[in-house]
Order: sequence, then structure tokens, then C-alpha cells
Amino acid sequence: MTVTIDVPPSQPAEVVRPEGDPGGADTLAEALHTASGRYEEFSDETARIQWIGGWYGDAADAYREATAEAGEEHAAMARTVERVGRAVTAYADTLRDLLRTYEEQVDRKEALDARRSALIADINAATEATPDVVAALRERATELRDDYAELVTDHDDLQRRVREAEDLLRQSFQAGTSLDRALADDGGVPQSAQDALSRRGAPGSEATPEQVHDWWLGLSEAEREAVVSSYPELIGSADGLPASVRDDANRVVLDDDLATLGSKRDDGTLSPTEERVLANAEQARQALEDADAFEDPITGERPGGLLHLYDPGAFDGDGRVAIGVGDLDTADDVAIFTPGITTTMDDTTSYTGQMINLYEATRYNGDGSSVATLFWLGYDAPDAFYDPATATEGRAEDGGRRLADMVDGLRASRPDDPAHLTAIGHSYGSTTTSYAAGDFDLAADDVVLIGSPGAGPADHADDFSVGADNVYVGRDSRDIVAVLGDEGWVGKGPVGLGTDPSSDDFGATRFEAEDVDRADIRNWGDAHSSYLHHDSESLYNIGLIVDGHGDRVNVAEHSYDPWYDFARDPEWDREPSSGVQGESRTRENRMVP
Amino acid sequence: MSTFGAEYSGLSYGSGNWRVLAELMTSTSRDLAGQGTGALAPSVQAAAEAFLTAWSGYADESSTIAIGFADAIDAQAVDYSTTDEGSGNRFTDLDGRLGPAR
Repeated sequence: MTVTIDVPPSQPAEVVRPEGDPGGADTLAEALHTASGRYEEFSDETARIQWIGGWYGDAADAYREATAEAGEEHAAMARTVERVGRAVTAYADTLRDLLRTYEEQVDRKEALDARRSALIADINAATEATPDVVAALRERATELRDDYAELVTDHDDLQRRVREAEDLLRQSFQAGTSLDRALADDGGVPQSAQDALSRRGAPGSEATPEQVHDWWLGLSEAEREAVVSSYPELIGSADGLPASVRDDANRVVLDDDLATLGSKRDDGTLSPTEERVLANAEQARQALEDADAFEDPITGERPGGLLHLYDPGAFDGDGRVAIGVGDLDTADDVAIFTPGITTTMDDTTSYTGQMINLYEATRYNGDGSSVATLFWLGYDAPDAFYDPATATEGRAEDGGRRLADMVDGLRASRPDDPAHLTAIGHSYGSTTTSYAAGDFDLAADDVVLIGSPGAGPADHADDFSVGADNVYVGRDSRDIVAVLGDEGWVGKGPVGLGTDPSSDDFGATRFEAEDVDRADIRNWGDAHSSYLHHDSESLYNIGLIVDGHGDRVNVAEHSYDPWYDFARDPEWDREPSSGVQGESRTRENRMVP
Repeated sequence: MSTFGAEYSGLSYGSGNWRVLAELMTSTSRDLAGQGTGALAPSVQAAAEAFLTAWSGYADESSTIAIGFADAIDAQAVDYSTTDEGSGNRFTDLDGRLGPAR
């Protein structure tokens, strides 16, 4: 009896490699960014030499008129070549992704071909074709056919994405080539991107985060690529879009800044303002490299960094930035950290390091859920202790609104898969977080205030959107900033920024947060800045809260104010620990048994 | 025009800056012309080459514009200087004295 087993052919015949070289494309993008910087310099310089000292009369008037015209046109040229440069940067990034997918498909095909060869060998070797043997061989053939079919589908998808990426870049070049297009307001922007942005719900049209999310879902993959490469600043700050999309867009702008301003520095044409922007960009780049290189302590894999917000020229050069560790789009537990006074983009690498600590601690003591942590400097933090803005709550109120909006955006980007979300505020950032939760309906699950000078508008934890049971407070008894808030029936006058949230009247859960190296007196050194240090009580407890287990924190007694004396802190005399399991260990620590 | 005037140092400063811009744009033109497109997919290369060729030309034109401004300012300075010198001679030739000394 003859038995037929239908072995599928090897498919696709060839996994076609996407053409092009990302590194070479980056080089071309850099050249275009350099050209953009020079056109910009041309425009800026014409503004400077439009008025030549001591020269007046008809000739001088005519000169100024001609100069102004040249300046405007060169500014338009700078914007167009910048857009095309960004399109090339985005193409290089996309090409890298496509090449990774290609390599994966090559590996898959090799594995499938090996299975196919083994199947053929087993068929040829079968001397006794019992029904069971035949059924097993047929089942293997069927599975192989299905897997080949899946590979063919994925390969078709890869080739489609390759064509779309190439089409988009070609259209970008064409949209900026003729002089008319080069001088146009939308020079270098392909029609597909313009069409996509004109649809209802697009960012920048005062759409809600939910509408922006729906707008994004309605775009084709090609349109998505087009708007990311053509409008990266807009997409990079659009609440409601997936964090990975914002990251792609912001990295395009970051690369642009580094290349354009870097070449202006080489040309010696960098202004003081641009110098600050470049320094901020370099901070962001370093922080991203740190986040990208970080390895999860449990899996050993790299969860990756995210540039969630990037606006290096904002707030008079202090900059706005948000850098994440982990995948904000999928993480089970998300923590958003808001820093306090004196924080600028100069501090980005330092705070990103603390976000890595928080991620690590949460995973180390966690229940296995996935985690993402985000350093969010989306508001204008006061510049110094003596900055008049520090003594008022205006910046905190504005920041609270911005924080609540950003969280709304995160929520809208994951409507069917909400994360457990913890908002953490430090120092003045705790007052900012209090405004978000007290006045702007912060859509978090838990709130953590550390080193807090006061809870802003909230007199009681019940005033927060998350409810009193989900408000946690960490205060080192030596932290001088954290005793500024009002406490007891007398209060402390205008020095604080609302009620002390660690006091018994406030009604939050206070957790242990003493620094093992604490001094004998109150200070704003380590006592105020070590809440996210490894192997500290504070980081241990915050990690548990971020992981969704606030009920397991090591509770500390509240401070209280006896009517006859100053406020008392029961934590003052407690001996703190460091690196002790169940109290303060936050990572594998070879120094501690 | 009821008033006019110029300071030579100001005109010279302006002219010098225009010439620096001209050099910058010449360099830009050269950089763009020298860029290869081989790193891009073949389907994109023609568009990229057209773009780079056009923009190399635009940068050249910007350089020409900047030189034009510099030359015009320099010419203006020469005109002022020549006119002022000529006018000076006219006044030098005038004899404003009275009596026998005239």
C-alpha cells in the first residue's frame, strides 16, 4: 500500500533583505541637519546685521528691506531641510527595525527548513507505515505547512512595510525639492502626512486624549510612519498616543538637535541659548543610553528606555523631559515620579538612575508583574530655595494640572489594559502631585509623597482622588524639608506648602523611610535626597506600593503635635536598617548576608 | 529723504559678516553635493539625488546673495567715501576770507 504524506515546499523562496544601510542614512541625515543649522544661522545673522549702526537714509532703508526678505526665506529653507532631515532619521530608525525583523525571519526560515529536512528524512526512513506513524508524520507536515504559511504572511507584511518606508522617504524628498516647495510652510511634508493630520481627533486640534487615541487607531501603518517623521514634535508630546510612538518621534527630534546644534558648535555659531538646549539634549541622550542598557534583575533582559517627553528649550532653558525605564504601553505596574525644586534637564541622568533603582527594587521584591518607571519633569520646578516661586504653590498647581493631563493620556493610550499606576512626588514635586490628586482628579491608583513640604490643597488624604487608603507618605525624621508642612492646631505659618502629610491628622499611611546614615540634626542633604537609594527602607516600601502591595509596607508611626509642645516624630529614635530582607533590601547585595 | 549718514566701521562690520555667511553657504553647497545616496534603497535614490542637487544649488545661490549684499555695502562705503572726498575738495576750494587775504 502506498501512503502519501504531503510535505509543504520551503516558503518563501527567499527572505528578501530590505535594501539600504541605516548608518549611511544617519550620515545623510546629519548632513541635512547641518545644512538646516546653516540656513538657520543665515536667517539669524541677517536679523542681527539688518541694522548697521550709524547707517541711515534711503540706501539703508532699501538694504533693510532686502535683508529682511532674505532672512525670512532662509528661515523657511531651514525648516524644510530640517523636516527632510528628520524624515531621513526616521527612515534610518525604521530600517533598523525592518532589518531586525528580516534577521528574525531568516532564522525562522532556517529552522523551518531544518524541520522540513528532518521530516523528509523520517518519512524516507519509515519502514513500517503503521497508522500511528503515518498520522504523526502527517501532523508534523500540517504543522510545518501552517508555520510556513505564517512566515509567508509575515514576510509579505515585512515587504509591505519596506515599500511604505521607501515611499514615504521618497515623497519627503520630493515635497522639498522644488524652490516653491522648499520655501513653503509645509515644505518636505508628504501629502499623506498632511492628510492624516487634518483628520478629526489629530493632535494639536484640541482633541481629548481619547480622541487622539482613536485618531491614531484610524491611521494606516504608512500614515502613522508619515506623521511621526513629518511632525515628530507634535506626535512626541501628544497625550493619548502609545508611549512607543511618542518615543520614536521624540528620538527623531533628539537626533535632529544633537546633529544640528552639534554642527553649529563646530561652526562656532552656537548662541548661549542654543548651547543650553544642546546640553539638555546631551543629558537626554546619556539618560536614554543608561535606560536602554539597563537589565531587568529577574529576567536579565533589557526592558528598554523611553523618551516620553522632550522639549529642551522649554521654561527658559530648564527644559521639559520624561524618561522611562520599561514598557509604559504594556507594564502591569507603572510609576510616575515628579521631582522638586532646582530640578532641570541637567538632572536627567541622575533621576533616570533613580528610576532604574525603583524599577529594580520593585521587581526584586515584587510578585513577578511587569514594571515601568518614569521620571517626569513636565512642569517648571522652582529654581532654588530662595526662588519666590518656592514659597508659593503656583508652579505646583500648574504642574499638578499638567501631571493629571499626562496621566489621562497614559490611561487613554491603554483603554483595555489599564496599568496599576502610582504617582510619586518628591519635595516640591509632592506638592505638585498633591495638586494633581487634590484638584485635578489624578487618574492614579496610589499616591506616594516623599520628603514633602506640604500637601498643597489637601487637608486630609481623603481629599485625594485615590482615596485615603491609597495615600502613602515617606519622611526621614532628619529631612528638614519634610517638617515644613503645617501640623497641629498652631501650624507653622507660611514656611510650608500645606498640611504635613506625615502627621496623624492627615490620615495617610506613613511607611518607614529612615536613612541608615542619618545625621543627628535635620538637614536637606542625604536626609532629603536618599529616598530612592538602593537598600534603603524608603525604596523598599515604595517598591512594594508600585508593585500593588501597599498593604505590605512597613508602617511607621505618624508624627503628632501635642498641644503643649512642638511636633514629635516617633521615628526619630528608631534604629533604621539597610539591606535587610523584608525591611530595606532592594537588590541582590553581596555585602549583606 | 531728509537725513542720511553712515559710519565706515559699521558698514565694514556688516560687509564682513555677509562674507562669512557666503563662505558658510559655499561650504554647505559643497557638503550637499558630496553626499552619497547609496545608503538609501534604490527606489529612493533618484529622489534623494534630485533633492541634494537642487539644495546644493540653493546653497550656492545663498552664497551669491550674501556676496551681493557684501559687495553692495562695500560699494556704498566707497560711494560715501568718494562723495565725501569730492565734496571736501569743493569746500576746500572755497575761500571764506574777507578783504585782502581773499
